[in-house]
Amino acid sequence: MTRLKSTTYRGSPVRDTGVGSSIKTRWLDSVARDLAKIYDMLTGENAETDTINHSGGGRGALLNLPLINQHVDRLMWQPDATKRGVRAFIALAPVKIPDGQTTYRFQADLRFRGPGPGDVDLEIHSYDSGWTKTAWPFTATTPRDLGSLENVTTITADLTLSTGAGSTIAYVAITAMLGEDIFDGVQVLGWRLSPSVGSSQRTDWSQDTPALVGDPFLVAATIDETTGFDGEQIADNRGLDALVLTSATSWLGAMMEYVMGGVLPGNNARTVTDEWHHDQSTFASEPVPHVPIFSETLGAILEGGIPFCVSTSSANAEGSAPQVATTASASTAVDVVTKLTYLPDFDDAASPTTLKAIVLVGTDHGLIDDWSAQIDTGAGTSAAVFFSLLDDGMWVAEIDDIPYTAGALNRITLQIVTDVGTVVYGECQIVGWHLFFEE
Amino acid sequence: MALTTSTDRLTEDEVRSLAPARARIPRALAGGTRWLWELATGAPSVADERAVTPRNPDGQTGANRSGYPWGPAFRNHLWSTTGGSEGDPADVAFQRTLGTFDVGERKQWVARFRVRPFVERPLTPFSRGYLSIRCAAGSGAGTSSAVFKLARLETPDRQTSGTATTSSTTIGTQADLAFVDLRPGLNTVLITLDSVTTREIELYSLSLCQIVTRTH
Repeated sequence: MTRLKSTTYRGSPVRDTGVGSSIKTRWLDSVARDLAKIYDMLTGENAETDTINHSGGGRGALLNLPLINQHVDRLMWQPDATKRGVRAFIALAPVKIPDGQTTYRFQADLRFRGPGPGDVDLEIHSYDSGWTKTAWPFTATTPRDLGSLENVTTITADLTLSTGAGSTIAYVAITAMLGEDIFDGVQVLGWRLSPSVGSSQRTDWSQDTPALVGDPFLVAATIDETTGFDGEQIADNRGLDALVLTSATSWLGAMMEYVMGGVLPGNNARTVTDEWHHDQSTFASEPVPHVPIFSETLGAILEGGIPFCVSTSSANAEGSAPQVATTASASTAVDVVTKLTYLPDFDDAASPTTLKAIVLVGTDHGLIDDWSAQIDTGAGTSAAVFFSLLDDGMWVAEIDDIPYTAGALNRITLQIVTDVGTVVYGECQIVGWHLFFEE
Repeated sequence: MALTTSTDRLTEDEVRSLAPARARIPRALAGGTRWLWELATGAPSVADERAVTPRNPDGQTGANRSGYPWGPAFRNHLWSTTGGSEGDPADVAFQRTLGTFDVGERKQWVARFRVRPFVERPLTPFSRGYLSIRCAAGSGAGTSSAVFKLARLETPDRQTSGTATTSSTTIGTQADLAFVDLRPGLNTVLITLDSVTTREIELYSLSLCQIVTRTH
């Protein structure tokens, strides 16, 4: 028994399939091998490694999902005059760059209280083995009104972010050097980071969709109704077997519906019995693509992890990254922010492995490596301790295996768990966070 | 060497025993497999040749999960906001509000966000964004209610609306209050809070999501 499977697409020459061609079995052999390869790539079955994870390069079309679409609104930069000459992150968020997705369009809507935007630098901070800072040129519109918003300046930059081997954490920031010109402050209304793709195509799928067993074939085909064909079924000395032809046609149609996400035209009697959900209920090894959910900045912070305006007072200043005061009881989870978002139906939501988060904090108080960040979704919690990003006073936590409710609205709460039992203000500034799916 | 491509469909009669051996059968099977390969892998089936399948809404080859026929769409986060950093750190709950709104008060948010390209047909999965909120009742007695209206900036009169109601001071979720039609690319949407009645309402977050996997 030898399961027929190709290593890459084989196809069949026109001379083997055209009118007047000699009847040979090699075209059917190629079809059987190609179908088996596609089935394994889609489902992860049979120890296939070239799975369809939407990372491009033959591993599935890129998803081109936005990384940041955040409305910030009241975040103001009103720096302390004593901090002149210090670079400030007026918006800073971590993002995990999907493998293969390297080019992005960045936009931010700003409102200046001074002359601006000449003194605002847009920088992209990427982290690999250390902080590296790359400043990107940007264009700025003249101030204009948007609905009830007045004097909005939109800055735009096109970025190329390296993904390296596997997906990579990058830190996207708008920075500004405190000076006379923008001493009066700048307001970040919203910002966006999304893949650069061509303008929307009005796709005309007018061509007929390809082979399927049509009416009056009334039996619903499932993608796994066959696992492939044996070499003996398509040997040179065998006739064209109707069972093989029917199975191959049905398998092709089922996989086509699985990939396309709907019933093929002209075959209304059939239903799609399996969906390309990545929920691993039918196929335990079905690959989960990298899907960003959201990334957010929570407030401004000065370079070096220095609190923006407040270090020891009991109140947060408008515009600064929120400080989490340590609580009276150690190991108590302190809610920082709660988001609502629908989450797709990926892997096993009850014991997940693919919903993850990155939390970025800043501090100039030294070690916080006993602190941890925690995500609470209502379906459960998952936590991770912070590790230092070298000398910039920035700390990051990567949280894995976050439980969630599949295919439904989820309440996502970011929490900080501290290890001390006394109230200390300004010790830890919560700068930004990112939620995403990743295998 | 030209490889077979085809959009022919086979019927059961054509592939049963004793059916005539017609060239249509190998052409449909070999050609259809070529289509399937390109839709699944997102790459031309033959190196250095153009793909035989149509381009997806991103202008690229393959199914990119933007709705039929480009793959079942995901339930997708679109846009969100939370309050500014005005919370009191001495408050361990540390929920940052968007504000507390009095009876009769009105507030508008201008939401600007990018939507990945999708086929612009009515009722396709990515063609609507649904609003969900986090809120609680503020000062006063009784049940607080507020109307949320959604409209595109260019068509402010084409609104959908939904009413959030709560009598609890505990923060709760109000899902899918109203929807707005989306366009691929940059969208500007007006979200209006109106008609707060009976009791103050406290807002904590607003979110827009694409929520339906096939059609509405």
